[in-house]
Amino acid sequence: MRKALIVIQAEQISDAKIEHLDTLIQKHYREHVGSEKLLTLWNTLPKGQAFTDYEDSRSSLITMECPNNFPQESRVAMLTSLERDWRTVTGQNPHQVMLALVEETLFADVFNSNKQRLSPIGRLCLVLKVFSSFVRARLTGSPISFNPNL
Amino acid sequence: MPVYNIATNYPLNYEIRKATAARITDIHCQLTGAPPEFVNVIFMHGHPLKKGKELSVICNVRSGGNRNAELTEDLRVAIRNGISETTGYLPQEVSAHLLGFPASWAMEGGEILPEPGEETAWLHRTHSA
Repeated sequence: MRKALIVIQAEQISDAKIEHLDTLIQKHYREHVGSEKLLTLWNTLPKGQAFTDYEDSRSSLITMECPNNFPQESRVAMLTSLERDWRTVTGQNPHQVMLALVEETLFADVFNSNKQRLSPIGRLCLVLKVFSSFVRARLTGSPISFNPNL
Repeated sequence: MPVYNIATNYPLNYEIRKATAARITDIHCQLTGAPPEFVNVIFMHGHPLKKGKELSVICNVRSGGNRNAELTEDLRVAIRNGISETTGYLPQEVSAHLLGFPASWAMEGGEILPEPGEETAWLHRTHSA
């Protein structure tokens, strides 16, 4: 299973729009990357916890995993299509949306470095947080979304 | 990109977060020549870190172009020391880790990011679109 880590700002994108965006990500991923299931993890940062260009951030950061040696032409097609649809839904300007399609070896480095900096208790807390969000998402039929503060 | 992802055991207040983000932006732009509008800094708290650490920063930066291993290490050390100064944590209580990404793997401003050192034309193009 591939993963996508998405960071958005609290109170900027409604739950309904997040569900719509999640559907669009899955659609474009199937079209441009492959049929492998993509697990999307939505991190909603509380106000005042993100900054871009010195100011409180209004940016969305979407980092998705793809196979190694992924063709650049397909990557550009994927990012271009998703960026266009994302901004249609959110109304953000082009400089408020950063997307990356990262090959699996480097993506694993990113994912693991976030775990490896934690103590054993910290890792357990992180697993429990993601797991509880996963259960809630399954029960409500919504994307996996959580506040990244533990 | 870059995205500086900061985790702490305890919450930092807003003024310290803002000052830390500004210091990181200053350092990143001075050392790499990147424009400040590229620089994202996010904070998360309540993260029990490894023993002896109060703050951890992981940064995804563009690799290649005018960036070599020496510049990357200089950036890592300067970021760690800058964060130490704004937060009051000792340098040894701050861990800093940089991960290099090919610029061509990411999009911002509706275009694939430029190679490091080639930002001027990209900025002109994306801001005039």
